[in-house]
Parts: sequence; C-alpha cells; structure tokens
Amino acid sequence: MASMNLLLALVIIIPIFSALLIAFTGRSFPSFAGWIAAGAVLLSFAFAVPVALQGIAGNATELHLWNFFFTKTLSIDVAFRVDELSGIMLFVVLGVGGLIHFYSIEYMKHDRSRGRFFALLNAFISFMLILILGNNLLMLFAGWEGVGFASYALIGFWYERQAPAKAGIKAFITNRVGDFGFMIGIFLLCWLTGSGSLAEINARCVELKNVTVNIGGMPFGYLELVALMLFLGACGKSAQFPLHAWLPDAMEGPTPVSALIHAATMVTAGIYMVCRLDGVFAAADTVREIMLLGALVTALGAAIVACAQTDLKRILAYSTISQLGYMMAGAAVMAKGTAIFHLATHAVFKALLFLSAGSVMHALSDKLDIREMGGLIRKIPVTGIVMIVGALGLAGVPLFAGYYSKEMIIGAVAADNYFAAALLIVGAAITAFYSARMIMLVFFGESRFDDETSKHCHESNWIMILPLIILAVGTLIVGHLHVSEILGHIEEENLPWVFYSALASVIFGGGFGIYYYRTHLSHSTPWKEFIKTGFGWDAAVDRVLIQPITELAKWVRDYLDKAGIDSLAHGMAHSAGALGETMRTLQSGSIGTYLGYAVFGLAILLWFIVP
Amino acid sequence: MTLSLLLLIPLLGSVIALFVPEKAVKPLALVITIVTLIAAIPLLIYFDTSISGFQFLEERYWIPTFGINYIVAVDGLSLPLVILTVLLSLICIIASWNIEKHVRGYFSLFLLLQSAMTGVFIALDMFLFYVFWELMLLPMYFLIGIWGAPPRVDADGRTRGGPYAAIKFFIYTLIGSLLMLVAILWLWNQNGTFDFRQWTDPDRNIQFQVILWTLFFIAFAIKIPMFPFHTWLPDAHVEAPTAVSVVLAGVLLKMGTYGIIRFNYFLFPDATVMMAITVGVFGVINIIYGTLCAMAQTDMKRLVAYSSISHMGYVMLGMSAFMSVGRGSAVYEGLLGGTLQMWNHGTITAMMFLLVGVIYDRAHHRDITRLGGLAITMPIYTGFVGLAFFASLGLPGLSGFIGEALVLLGTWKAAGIYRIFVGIAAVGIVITAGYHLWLIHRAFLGKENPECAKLPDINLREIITLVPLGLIVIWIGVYPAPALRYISATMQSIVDNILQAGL
Repeated sequence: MASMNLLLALVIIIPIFSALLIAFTGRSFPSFAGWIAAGAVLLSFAFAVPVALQGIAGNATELHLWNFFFTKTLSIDVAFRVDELSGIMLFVVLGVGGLIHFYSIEYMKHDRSRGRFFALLNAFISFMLILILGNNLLMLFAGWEGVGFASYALIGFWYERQAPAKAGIKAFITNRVGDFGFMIGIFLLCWLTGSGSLAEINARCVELKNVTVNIGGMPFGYLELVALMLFLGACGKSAQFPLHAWLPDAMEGPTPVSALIHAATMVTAGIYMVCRLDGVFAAADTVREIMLLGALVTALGAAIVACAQTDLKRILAYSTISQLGYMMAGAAVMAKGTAIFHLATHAVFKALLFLSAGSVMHALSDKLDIREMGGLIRKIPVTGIVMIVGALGLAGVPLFAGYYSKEMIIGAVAADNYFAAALLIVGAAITAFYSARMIMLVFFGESRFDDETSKHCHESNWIMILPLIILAVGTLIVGHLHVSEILGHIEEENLPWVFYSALASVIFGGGFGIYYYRTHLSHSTPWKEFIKTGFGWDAAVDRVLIQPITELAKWVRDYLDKAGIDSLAHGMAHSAGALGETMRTLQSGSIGTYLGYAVFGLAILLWFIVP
Repeated sequence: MTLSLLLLIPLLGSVIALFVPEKAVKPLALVITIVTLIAAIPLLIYFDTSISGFQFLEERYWIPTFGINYIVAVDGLSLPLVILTVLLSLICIIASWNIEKHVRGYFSLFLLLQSAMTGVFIALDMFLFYVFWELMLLPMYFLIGIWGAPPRVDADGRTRGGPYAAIKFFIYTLIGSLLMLVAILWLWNQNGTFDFRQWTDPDRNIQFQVILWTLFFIAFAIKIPMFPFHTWLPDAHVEAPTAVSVVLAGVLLKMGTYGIIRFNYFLFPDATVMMAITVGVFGVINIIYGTLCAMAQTDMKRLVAYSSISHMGYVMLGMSAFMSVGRGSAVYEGLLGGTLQMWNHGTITAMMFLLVGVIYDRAHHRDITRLGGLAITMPIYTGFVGLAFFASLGLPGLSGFIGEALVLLGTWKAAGIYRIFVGIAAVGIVITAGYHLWLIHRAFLGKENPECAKLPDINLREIITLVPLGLIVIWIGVYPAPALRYISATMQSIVDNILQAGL
C-alpha cells in the first residue's frame, strides 16, 4: 500500500508544482506553458489510474500529510482518500481534464497571456483534486473554494472586456451565497459528530437521526438542518435553481474553461458532495423532497430556456444546468450510483460538445450566434460529425452515453415518485428537441454567414481534433460501463411504461426539432425573448436583492455613518468648544469687569451669611 | 532581558536618530528595527507552548512607595502581537523610505512608537501599561498630523486633512484612556499595587465589577474600534501616511481586543459572563456595519479602513463566545480563532494598506472610479493585490479563512443566540466577498483608464515589504497548526479562568 500512497501523493503534487512553475516562468516561455500544463495533467492521470482502479475495486488508499489545525475537541488533518466514489471522479477529472488541456494548447495559441491561462487551469485541477480526494470536510471545503477562485479568475480571463469581468464576480458571489450554507452545514456536522472525517460522519448519521437542535428557541431536526444547508451549497456550485444564473454568464470565459470547469468537473462538485455525504441526506427525508422539487424545476426550466437561446455556448450552458438537475434528482432519491453515472457520461459528452463549439468558433472567427451559422457540415465535417455524436449523447439516443445514465435516473426516480419521473421524461423530450435544433441550425440548412467569414472558414488542426475524436469514441463507450453498480445496488423501477415513454419522448422531441428546423430559423417573438432571458430571472434578482443592498450600503454611509454618528461626535466636540468660548468671555482682562464680579460675589456671600 | 531589549533598542534608536546626519537616519532606523527583530527570535524559540502562564518574566522595583514596578512578560496572547509589532515596524521603515519631510523627526517618532506599542503588549504593571498606552498617542498624533495629508476644506465645509484626523484620533483615545485611568486608580487604591495579577477578587461586588468592566471596555472599544466609536478610524487612515496606516491597522487596533481579553476577562469574570452577549452583539454589528460601509466607498483606503472594522468584528464575536449556554461548559475555539484573527488581520491589512500606498504614490489619488485596467499596466502589483484581497475575503488556503472559520466554529458551539450571530456573520462574509471583488473589478479589470495607463509597476523596495507578509499569509493558510500551538494553552486557561472564577 505504501506505493499507492506515493502514487497518490504524486497525483496531487504534479499539477500543483506545474501550476507554480508556469506561474513563475509562463511570462518568459509562453509557448511551453501549454505543453507543460497538458503534460502534467496527463502524467498525473497515468499515476492516478492504478490508485483509482484500486479504489474502485474497494481497496481505499489513504494519505495523511500533516495536522491542519487542532482544538481541544476537533483535530483536522491534511489527508486524502481514494475510494469507489473518488476513484470514479479521478477518472473524470484527470481524463477529461487532460484532453481539454491538450486541446487548449492549440486553442489558446495566439493569446498573449496563455502563461496565466495554463497556470490557472493547472491550479484548477489541483483544487479539484483536493475537493474530490479530501478526507474531511475542511479539505473538501478548501478545494471547493479553490475551484471557485480558479473559476472566477478564468471566467474573467479576458478581463479587459467588461462582460467577462462582471461574469466572474457574479459567479463568485452567487457561489458565496451557497458557501454560506455549506459553511454552516460544516460547523453543524463538526460539532455533532466531533469529527471532520467524511467516513465517520456518514457512519454516525443513522444513530443521530433523531437529534434536534435549538435555534433561538425553536427545535429543528439536526440532520435535516444540516442537509438543507449542504444542499444550499450544492445549489451554488452545481447551478441549481435559485442559484443557477451565474452559469450562462460564465460562458464569457475561454471555451476550454467552459468545457472543463463549467460543464465537466467543477459544476458537478455539488452533486459529488451530496453523494459523498449521503449518510446525512439519507437521514433527512423532508430535505430530500425539497431537493427533488428543486431538481425538477431546474431540469425542466433550464431545458425550456435552452430552446430559446441563440448563442451556441449559452444553449450548452442551460443544457448543463438542466442535466445537473437530472443528477440532483438522482441524488435526491438516494440513487447516488445513477447520479454519478450521469455525471461521468455528461462530463464526456458535454466536454465534447463544448470543445466542438470551440472548433466551430475557430472556424467562424469567434462567432457564436447560431442565427449566423448553417450548413457548416460541408465546411468542417469532422467537427460536425463529432458534435452530432455529442448531441446524440446529450439527447439520450440509444447506444450513446446519455441514454443509459438518464434512463437509470428516471427509473430510480420512478421508484420514488411517478409524477417526478413523468416530468423528467418531458424534460428528456425537450432536451432532444433543443439538441436537434442546435445541430440543425449550426450544421444544416443554408449558410447564413457572410462571404468574408466563409473564406476563412477552416477545419481545426490535429491538436484540437484528436481530443474531439477521443471524446466522441468515449461517448459511445462510457454508457456501457457499469459505473452505477460500483456504488452499490440501486432500487430501480423497471416498469415498461417508464422505459418506453422515455424512449418515445426522445424520438418525438428530436424528430420534431429536426423537422421544424430542417431549413430555416423560426421568428423571434416577445415570448421567446422573455424565455431567452431565463424568465427574467436576472432582472428580478437585481431589483429584489442587489439594488436594495447597494442602496442600503449608500444609506448607511451617508446617513448613519456620516450624518449620524460622525456628526454626533462633531456636535459633542463643538458644544464642548462652545462652552469653552462662553466661559472665555468671562475672562475679559479688564479690571473693571473683575471688580464687578468681586462685588457681585461678595453680595451673594453676604446674602447667605447675614440672616 | 529579551523583552526589555525589545523596548530599549527602538527607544535608544529614537534618541540617536535625532543626532545623526539626515542622510544616515534611514539606514539607522533600518538597522535598529532589524536588530530588534533578531532580538525577538529567542522569544519564538524558547517560548514553552505547553505553559499557559507568563513567560520571560522580568520584575524590577521602580517606585515601590506607590506599588509601581517594572513588570514585563509575554504569554500566548501577547507573544503573537509582540512579534507582529516588531515585524511590521521593520516593514514600515522600509515602506517609509520615500519620506523626505523632516526625516529625523519622522523616524525618531516611529521608533518611539514601536517601543511604546511593544510596551503595551508586555507590561503587566498597570502604571507601566498606562504610560505606554499614553506614550503611543504622542508619536501617532504627530505622525498623522505632520506627515499626513495637508489640511483642506471639504465639500461639506469642514476642514479635513492630517491635523483634523490626528486630533480626532487623539481625543477619542484620550477620552477612553481617562475612563480607564479612573478604573485603574480605583483598583490600585483597593489593592495598594499596580500589578494587575494581584487585582483579582472573587468576592468583588457584581455592580462594581460591571462598572469597572465598562470603564475598561469603553477605552478598549474605542481602540478596536467598535461601533459607534469607530468614526475616527477611517479619517485617521485616509489622512495618515502609508506606514502609519499599516501600524495603525496592523497593531494599534489589536490593543483594544488584547486589552479586553487581558484585563476585562481576567479581572472581572462575573461581569464578563454577564456582558459576553453584549460583546457578541457589537461584534456582529461591526461585521455588518463595516461591510456595508466598505461597499459604498469610492476611496480605496477608506474602503480598507471599513473592512478593518468589519474584520475586527470577527475577533469580538469569537472572543465573546467562551461558554456553551446549553451545556454550561467552556468553549475556547472562538477565542482561539479570535486571537489568530488578530494576527491574520494584522498581516493581511498591512499588505492592503501597503498596496494602497503603492497606487497613491503613483497616481496621487485613491479614487476607485478614476482607476481602471490596472491589471494591464501593473500586472505584478495586481498579483499582490489578488493575494491580499483574496486572503482578506477568506479564501481557504490563505490565512484569513482559518481565523474566520475558527471564530464561526467556536461561536456556533456556544449555542443559543450565538447561532443566530453566526448566521448574520456568514451573511457578512457574502457581502465581504462582494466589495472586495467589486474593488478589483473597478480598479484593476476592464479597459485601461488613459489617466493611469503610464503608471510604472511595483518596484523592488515595495516588493520587499510585501513578500514576507505574503509568505506568512500563505503559510498560516496552509499550515496553521504551529501558530495555533503558540496560543492554544493560554486561550484555554483564559476561558477556564472565567468559568471557574465566575458564578
């Protein structure tokens, strides 16, 4: 086992070291940065394979490095652990991550700050590893915040423009709202179990199910409260309603970042956390109902919004939100195997879709509006074919990855709640519809771009194409791996109506999409414009939350602080001064006045003395 | 002798500085502060982390007739603050290298200030403590008044500038000091000695305890500064030169929380138990009030000043949560976190003020709305800003996180109403992230502002001042256990002392 420990240490250290190396030398040797970064992740992946396979086989590897902090009742180590769950995550993060790094070498070739880009990308991988491998809550949280930072910095990578910089802030703050809950959840768990260790927490939750907590005089189910708080954290990171709005804006970042962070890995951290702490959620029945409801709203709402988008990356972003909703639904009915299965398949086909979108952008000089595309299959056939493969995976067509995992989630949800499963089937139809719409508008029909763009339109070179092909093959393979069974038996409803209606919905939705968009665009209507804004969510949040806080801050500054407290202090100082001024006039310096005082004083004295 | 050296070397330097040629003053001050830092190293090496009481104790007769003695010592509470003082003084001397006006006076006063600040943290005799407490005011007053911004009349018709801020600072602190003096003299009259360790009295009437507690508390609360006694702070910061801001935020504010833990908690345990929730409430008010004010500022330095108010709120919140209401047992994580937060705030805010100083030296203003795109013109500077600001907003892996996390962990453990405090404080964390990122966004990202397109990047001297602090911030963030080991035993005994003596 000692050799496994060493390998695990290397897996974590290599990306950290590489990130630092690039951070300090990337300015001087920018053209090497990409190769170093990609090499580091692929090397780390090579070391991770045996450790992860061991973990998946049930032989967990644990690595304790040093004591992070200790108090009388709580001691937290810097420690890592690879078991079944983190083993799967290792494959996802380093496998898909490695391919995206490789792709980025070519994609970012002309950017002058690519040193910074690759340093951050490696830093992201490092934090993500800390997140999935951390053996206790604090490590998990440290990685959680770290990936949040990397995401902020990479969304705003082109900070010279306003939109990316703003999108970065939005992502970070929204996540902070989630972290507020996550942090309180962590405190609750630490004090309840007297331990930060994830395994110990899960083990003890059964006996602690009936503990209640007193908050300002009101009793709550302790674990229900914990689960609610943790779910809030998961909502932030995994872009679940109502903390979802940052993800579409995050598309302002470079496309590989969208693929890696905002589709394949970081946004799934919330799902991972829920599955990791399944002991807690198993003991919180009420919260799981809320989770299922939230997941349904997210899955359906985002799918509808995706149908109205005209920006290629925003379609994919809303689709990611929707698919995360499916995963959350799986996690909410305690079928963590299905959630993680869909997480893995989604990582592959969504990374493929984003990277293909990047290839399309390269071909069309960074155009993203699908209304100005069309007929591209003739110009860039390889990108076209792999993107169609990705879309088939997303839509859930049999043989392709998404079909198996989505079907399993719907089956598991059906075992819990028929109505919820029915809604997810409707969602699957919408997913197939917008996937078809996207492919038809981009690759088929007449070309809608100008001649200038057409002249420069070209297929990407092998560095970008190779990862696309690998991911396309992956989309065909990964659905047939029995990922869900690694994490234990899943109670599934094998009713034929679930199976057939899910399949029928995909065929119907996809077929309608292909038919409707086979030749032309549909017209824009006010309704579609409203849906396109995400049902006006951003404007509402701005009016209800952000503006009031900003106004409150200004009010506190101007009225409470300056006109209130500071003026009061000034007032006191002035009245002290004024009193001094008044008293001073008594000391006029003229003998006559003083004589007057003396006589006056004498008179008063006499008044008292003489009866 | 070690502790006395920390007092004497800067004091001696401050006298010598008046008599050497003007050119030699800066090197002299540098040598003095380096020697002091070296003299402080034995403290770290020989400090026994398993002992909760005072170490390196030195006692000498001074004015025995009045029970006044020279007693100095450190424990886990004061040691980090002494080290912080010595370290920041050195950094401030380097940061003051561009001072051209009355060089002798400036550096002489600065070294005197260092001596007085160290004295406040190590004096156990209350007379000695009070001498240092007042002695600190004098250099501070002149440093802000003379080397601060020149007087000017603001839009609201009030005169602002260095002299205004200096006198405001002076009056506020003095009012507090006088209240404290009353309490000190009263206790001296009862006990016949100024050694505060002999002032404990388990049978002291609770009303008296509360009155004395309040007298001490107001003096220290002004220093923290606690709402509503805080308005001197932003003014002092805005008008003060960079290095003075650094010590003001880095060291002087800690004297408030230090004093409360050292004297209020030790001398009046019953009153402390009674007033704990009040301290917590004011802590929470500081957190929220500071963040809201910071969010609305356009002057970078004023923003950092209000963020200090907010961050000191965490210290107050943590140190108020020393007992569990439900189980009646001791909770010391909050105090531990609070003390660590004092150190962390000292290093992080010092970095932030140094960084604000860098931009002020170049652009000659600190108006966020008139900056923009600095990441393009000053990339290395922006890197340091990123480090300091993300540490300040509490990113794990950097030191700000661990202090806040321990404070909130401890406060949560204290149960009862403290759990609501944690909820409110956690909302503060969200807004804190907001104003930090918003500042970065407005000043550093986006298009280059033509007004500041030609600014040179940070120079070597400025980098030297920032690197040690940056390393500390990362080190405590990644591996805080050794730092906690220094303070842990003392914090435990402070909490035990309150709960054993009280009730």
